[in-house]
Amino acid sequence: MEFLARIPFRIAWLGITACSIFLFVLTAAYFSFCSDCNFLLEKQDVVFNPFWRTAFYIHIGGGMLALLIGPFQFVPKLRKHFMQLHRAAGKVYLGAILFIAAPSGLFMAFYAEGGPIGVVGFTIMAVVWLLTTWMAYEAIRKRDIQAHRAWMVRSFAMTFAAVTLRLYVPIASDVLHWDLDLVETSSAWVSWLPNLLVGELLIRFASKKL
Amino acid sequence: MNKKLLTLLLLAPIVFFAADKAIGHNARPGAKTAGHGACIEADVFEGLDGGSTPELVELATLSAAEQASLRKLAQEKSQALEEKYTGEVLMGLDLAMRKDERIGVTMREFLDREVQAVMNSVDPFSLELEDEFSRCGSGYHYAVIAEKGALTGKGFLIRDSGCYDRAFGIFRVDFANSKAGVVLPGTGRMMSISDFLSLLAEG
Repeated sequence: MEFLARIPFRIAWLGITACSIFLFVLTAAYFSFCSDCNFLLEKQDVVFNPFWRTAFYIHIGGGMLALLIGPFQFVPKLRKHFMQLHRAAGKVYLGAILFIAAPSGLFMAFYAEGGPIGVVGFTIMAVVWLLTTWMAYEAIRKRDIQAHRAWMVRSFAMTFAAVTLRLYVPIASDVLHWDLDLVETSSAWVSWLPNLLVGELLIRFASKKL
Repeated sequence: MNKKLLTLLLLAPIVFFAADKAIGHNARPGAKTAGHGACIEADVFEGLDGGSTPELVELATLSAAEQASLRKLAQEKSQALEEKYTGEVLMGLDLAMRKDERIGVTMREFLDREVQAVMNSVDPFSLELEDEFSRCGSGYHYAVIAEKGALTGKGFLIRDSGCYDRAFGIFRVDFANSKAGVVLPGTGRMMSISDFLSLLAEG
């Protein structure tokens, strides 16, 4: 029964991991340092601003690391049999977010599309990402494993917003044909709030399976 | 990790943002402010309005050497325009396309057929529209400056890359004689839009 109960979680983990790796590969293309590819096409107003451009590469570099490492930190067998690896990878994950991706993401949020609502949305997103990750670190420092797991779920829910955002925008604009302004404004919130909600549900109702 | 470090991590981006605003980086090298539009409009379109429309030079009738020379010129002029006429500058111009009442149905149909359809068909920049991830979409459009009832007008050929527009050619349109062509500044020559686009495409 225990095995069967875990199946939905395994399927979800596979989906999340596949999406994370896929985005990692897609994002790596930016390190060709093109100024007019993909997302940068939409940021031509700031793409030649050295502050913004530097923050962009710092942000995607850290974000890629976090996306790649994050899903594997939730595999119980890896934690059980390779604790040293889990700790080392965890340090990289925390460092990638706390010192690299989240602060640069916060800087980039000030230049976000979607007007004031978009800017506020992405700003809160960056702050929540940084705080949840910081809390995860604080919890493990105090050897509070349960709290650490809960905060790591929240942290990765925020990390996974990179994927949600890239799923939401094409669906809203190309499938649902929503107005561009609405898509830009709402993406600043829709990309991470549902993730956080799902994370909270997991923490409350399925914490033993994490 | 202490709270001071956390505060630093949260405040540093704000400080950098303030510094960036204080320095006032240009969005793009060579970008002009919107208010600059009127001056450069007069500059680039000098001689394009009114008067007689030059005869169209047919590319196929020229020698290979003349074609190569025109190709080089067309590509240079196009690149220069792209650097000068960014989306910001275009926004600052008083483009008739933004004011529909100034363009009659006949005028619009003519431009759609002679300019828009040709750009879409030739696709000189080989835009991979299906592959481009963008909320704004990519493609081509034109923008004209023309007074209502005028016999001639002038305009830009524009490519849209994502949310960013770049003018890559200027054209003259003679509504009375149903002619539209690209004028290469400094040559006094005009060629059909399809010829001009094919020269760019060959680059």
